[in-house]
Amino acid sequence: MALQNVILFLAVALAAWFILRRCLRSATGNGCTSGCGACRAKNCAARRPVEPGR
Amino acid sequence: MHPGLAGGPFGGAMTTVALAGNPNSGKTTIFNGLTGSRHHVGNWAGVTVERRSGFLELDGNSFEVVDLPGTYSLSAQSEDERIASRYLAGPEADLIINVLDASNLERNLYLTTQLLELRRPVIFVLNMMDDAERQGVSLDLEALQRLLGGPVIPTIGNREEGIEQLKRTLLDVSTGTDPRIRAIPVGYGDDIEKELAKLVREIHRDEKLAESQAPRWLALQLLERAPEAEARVRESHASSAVGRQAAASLAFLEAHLGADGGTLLAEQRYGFAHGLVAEAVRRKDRVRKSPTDRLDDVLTHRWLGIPIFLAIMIAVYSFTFILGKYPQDWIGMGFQWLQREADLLLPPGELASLLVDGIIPGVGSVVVFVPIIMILMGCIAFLEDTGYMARAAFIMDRLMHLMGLHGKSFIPLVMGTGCNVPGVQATRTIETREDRFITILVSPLVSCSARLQVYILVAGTFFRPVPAAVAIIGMHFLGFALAMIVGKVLRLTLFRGANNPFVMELPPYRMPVLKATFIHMWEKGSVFLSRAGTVILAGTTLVWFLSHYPGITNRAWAAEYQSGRAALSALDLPPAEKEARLAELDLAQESRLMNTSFAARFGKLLQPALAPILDPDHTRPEAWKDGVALTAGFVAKEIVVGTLAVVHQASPEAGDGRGKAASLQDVLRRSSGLTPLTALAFMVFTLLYTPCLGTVGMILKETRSVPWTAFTVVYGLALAWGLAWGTTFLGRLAGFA
Repeated sequence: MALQNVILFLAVALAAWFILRRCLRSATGNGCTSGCGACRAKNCAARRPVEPGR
Repeated sequence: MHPGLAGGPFGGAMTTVALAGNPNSGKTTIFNGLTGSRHHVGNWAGVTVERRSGFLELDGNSFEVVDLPGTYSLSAQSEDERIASRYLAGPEADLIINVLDASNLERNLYLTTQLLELRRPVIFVLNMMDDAERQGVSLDLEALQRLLGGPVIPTIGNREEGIEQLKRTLLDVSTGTDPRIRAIPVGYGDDIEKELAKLVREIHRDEKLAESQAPRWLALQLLERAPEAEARVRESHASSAVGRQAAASLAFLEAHLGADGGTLLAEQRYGFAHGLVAEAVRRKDRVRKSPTDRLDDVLTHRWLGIPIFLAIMIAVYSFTFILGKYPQDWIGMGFQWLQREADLLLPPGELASLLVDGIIPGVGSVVVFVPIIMILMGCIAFLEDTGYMARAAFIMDRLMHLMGLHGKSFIPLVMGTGCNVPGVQATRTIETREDRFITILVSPLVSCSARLQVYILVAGTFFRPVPAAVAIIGMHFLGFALAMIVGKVLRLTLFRGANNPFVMELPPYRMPVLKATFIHMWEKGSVFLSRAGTVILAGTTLVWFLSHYPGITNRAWAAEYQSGRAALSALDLPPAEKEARLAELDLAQESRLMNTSFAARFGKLLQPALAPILDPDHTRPEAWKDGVALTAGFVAKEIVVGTLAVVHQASPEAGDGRGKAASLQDVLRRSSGLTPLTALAFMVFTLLYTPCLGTVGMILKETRSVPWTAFTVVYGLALAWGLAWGTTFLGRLAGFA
């Protein structure tokens, strides 16, 4: 029972940490939270080169 | 200086002007008109076979005008054409006069697309305007000027009409006082642009190489395997790095897009030219048209275009729903088996509940939609590869012209249909602050693929396939329509100013490569699966926690439940009835925990605000669950589906409608209390309410303004409430339940 509780605690804590990290990333603008998958094809809009003069 | 271009005002003693154009476009006539020379002209191609110069004095400014042999392209092979391309790409010319045959504009524009890449000021001379008029061609000069980023001068060379205007323009451009000169990039699509960027980066390793020609132009030539560009690179000390990158880029493009670099670039350039002509040229008479033109006459027709687009989309979504139902059921059965096995294997307790009531139904409810998403994305990729989606974008862009959201704003909004975050990022290419802010602020109104899952769930539950398809497409259109309306309002109030034009490219129609379609389907599917394994898994775990605590720790309730189960198991009942009664007991226990949970307390706080929309008759005891799901969607919109599955105690697969064996769709239909009308209002609310946290973060990052970010959140919520309430109110007025 104790082991079950530890696993449960870890699972919930891990999920909370994951969501919290995501929220912080979003709030600070550090890192991508899109999940659009464009980066997998190395096609992310943020990597698009900025033309001179724009 | 001209924005984004090399040169001007030209400080030297003499400004060098190159005359470039297709063979037989009348360059020499214009040359003679400008310089007073009397060179031989003739109505056939190739009259000028070597370059020649003449001189011109305007208000004390000296100009050397260089007449070049006619060429259809700067990648030309014949010697006279090579003279032209070598000269134009070299450093000698300060500015270019591009002479175009007005009666045959589309063909002439191919060279123009290359001249635009040279990053020099270009004056566009529409010669032979009399021929164009005779052929019933009317040109919107104002639009051409905006779309090409330079002054457009109509001329009739042999009558010297327009020459004086051309001289005045030449003077203005050379002194840097012509406001019409702007850098206009020709877009080559994501894949090619990405490879170009890599090549440009390698070219910049050698400063001399980067200065010898515009690096982007050099990169384009390398993708076309132009021998002169390759020779230039060979002389560079960065030759091995650039050569390696060029080979890798070409291999990638050929493998992914199924054609060599030259063909791919040519297609995009023709697309640009075709799009520009569609914007600015009207033909009154009947001329022989290509199959692409004939198709475009119908598919991009002013009035028929949108109904055809709608019909195609309805067909695609209906097909998706009908075909997707089968794999959806199979995956659902798999998750149901998993749920049942986990229930049997794990000792009763909180950990078992996390898996059986939280993670499996939550993640499963999202994963069952993966086949539908894959089929849908496959259909859209197929349409994209045929060239039709570019037409759809063209039709929408034309609509947006009317509403003050124009040109470069459109591409970020289209990207936003995948995910709003890169859509907001893509506004970086917009030049003016006003245009950029308007686009950022309206981006969240465009429906993204995460919201699509909610629509698929809700529409698939409450409507038959065709009305469901109409409802989902309606959401996308509503998003775009509101983006346009809000954009117009912002343009008229907070962000006044003229908008910048942009050419929508219309590539030729072609048969899609099925392999590419399947690759696209798989990419989309794998993205959804990875989301299910990360954010949805984490989200449903937290939602399970919030919707089961503190009740799950109540020992008295647990004991009562266990003794109830034991008593029921001991009864001598037929197995089916016993199973059903056990399931009912499970459900009663789940409901008890759920209704006293943290999530329920929070949801009940929100309930009064949502009641006018989702529970107008106050008859839904479970209405608080909508608020919980929508709030969870603030983290990421796809969590809405997983949350609904957890709080409604659903199973991923349909059962007999009782107990845990009921799928989320069954539960929503039978016991959530939602009706088709309130379900539609739920979809409208999901479309418009506060953007997800990722988008909010990106808006903050890109605007660097807390007030504007807060404004986006608040107006989104207000708009969502207002329109969702309007949907319910008007629906009820019209007699819907």
